[in-house]
Amino acid sequence: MDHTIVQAGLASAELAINKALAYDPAVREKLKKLAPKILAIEITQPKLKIYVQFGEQIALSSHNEHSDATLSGDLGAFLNLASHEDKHAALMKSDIQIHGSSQLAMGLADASSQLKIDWEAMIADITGPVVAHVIGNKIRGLTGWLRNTGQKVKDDSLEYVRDELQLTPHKLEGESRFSEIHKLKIDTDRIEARIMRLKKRFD
Amino acid sequence: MSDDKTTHFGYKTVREEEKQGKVAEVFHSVAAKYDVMNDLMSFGVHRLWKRFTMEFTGVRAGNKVLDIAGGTGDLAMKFSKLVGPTGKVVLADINDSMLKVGRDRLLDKGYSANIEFVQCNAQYLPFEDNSFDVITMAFGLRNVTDKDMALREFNRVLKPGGRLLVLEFSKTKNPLLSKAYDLYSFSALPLMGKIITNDSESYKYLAESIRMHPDQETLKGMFEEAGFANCEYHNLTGGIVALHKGIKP
Repeated sequence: MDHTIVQAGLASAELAINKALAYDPAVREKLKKLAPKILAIEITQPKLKIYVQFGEQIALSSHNEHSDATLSGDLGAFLNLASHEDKHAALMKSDIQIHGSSQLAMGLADASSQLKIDWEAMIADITGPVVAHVIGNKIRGLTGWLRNTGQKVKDDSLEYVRDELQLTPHKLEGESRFSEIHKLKIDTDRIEARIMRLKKRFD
Repeated sequence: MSDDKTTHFGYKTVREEEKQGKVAEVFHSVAAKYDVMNDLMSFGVHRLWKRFTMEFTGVRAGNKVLDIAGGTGDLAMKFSKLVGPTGKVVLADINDSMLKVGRDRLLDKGYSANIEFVQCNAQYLPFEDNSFDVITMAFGLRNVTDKDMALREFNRVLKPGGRLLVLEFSKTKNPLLSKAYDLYSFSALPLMGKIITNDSESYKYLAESIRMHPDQETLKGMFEEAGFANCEYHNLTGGIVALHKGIKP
């Protein structure tokens, strides 16, 4: 990829991150404590390496001579991590490999999990507090409605697939079946052990 | 018969001692609107090229940095933050009009404690041997009369292990991009120069001087000739611009 395009992406991302952090002073302070450490994010597919330098502001670059820690994995793994609320737990379970200081990687994961941008303050800087409060209320109402509707659609579609189409078993049914399979596995292991014992005796 | 040495001033061949004066005229003419023109001509992309250059400087607190042909101080401003109160940045330019614009801009923005302003010729640097950790030159080398001599001077004033970074227009190998670039630089640039600075000749010189500048491999060879090691270059925007790097052994 042409370096100019990468630089354009990094400059835009850096601006957006620092702007967002300005509206969450608690997380900004946490990230400041990671200074002057450098974290490398190595995306293996497509190939791209980004360095995150912590300080008064977050600085992103495509080239650096050293890093204190490296997170490497494919783009899907990083997108998956970004979509989780608890990034610390998600990072532990993910396919992303950590080289170097895991404390630095976890520090970033913890801080970004806690990121709560004060959107109303951001809007207030442009429109003033009264208009920002009205817009904020509307947005909160809309996001609440979207969250509830999303959850309802998810629940309803699960119910439809399970009860109407009967494509998937009920949770209890599934648990009972898995319990039977587990019992069968234990019984088989027991028989195998018994056969081995008998075989040893005849030998 | 005259034994005067000649050099290029755009597509014209001039005597070596004439080039410095002619380049000076160009920059006296454009200094006041240099930044506006840079943004207009490159659509702001020159900021991304300089950002990329900064990544390779490796400048740390306490370093001494020379930004030669630093003009309006884009890089010097960034270096000033990086070197901190224990470091030093020297913003140098041969052209007093450009240096004045850079100095006023930096002082207005509150950068003064660790910056020095020096008017000097890149071929005859008024600095001691082995005195800088990093030297940068952005879009200045093609205007230097004797480029080999300037590169040797950079090598002299750099500390061993110090690095030279030269950001300069170069040659693209993409034929389609090359055609579009030629059309843009020989038609649009002089027209923009005429409208913004009332000076189309300076921007005609800009386009011509870019074509006369050595290509990536030639410049890399010149770095090596001047005594630099680990020489490398990185093409930007399809090779329209290239960043050359060399280390003083």
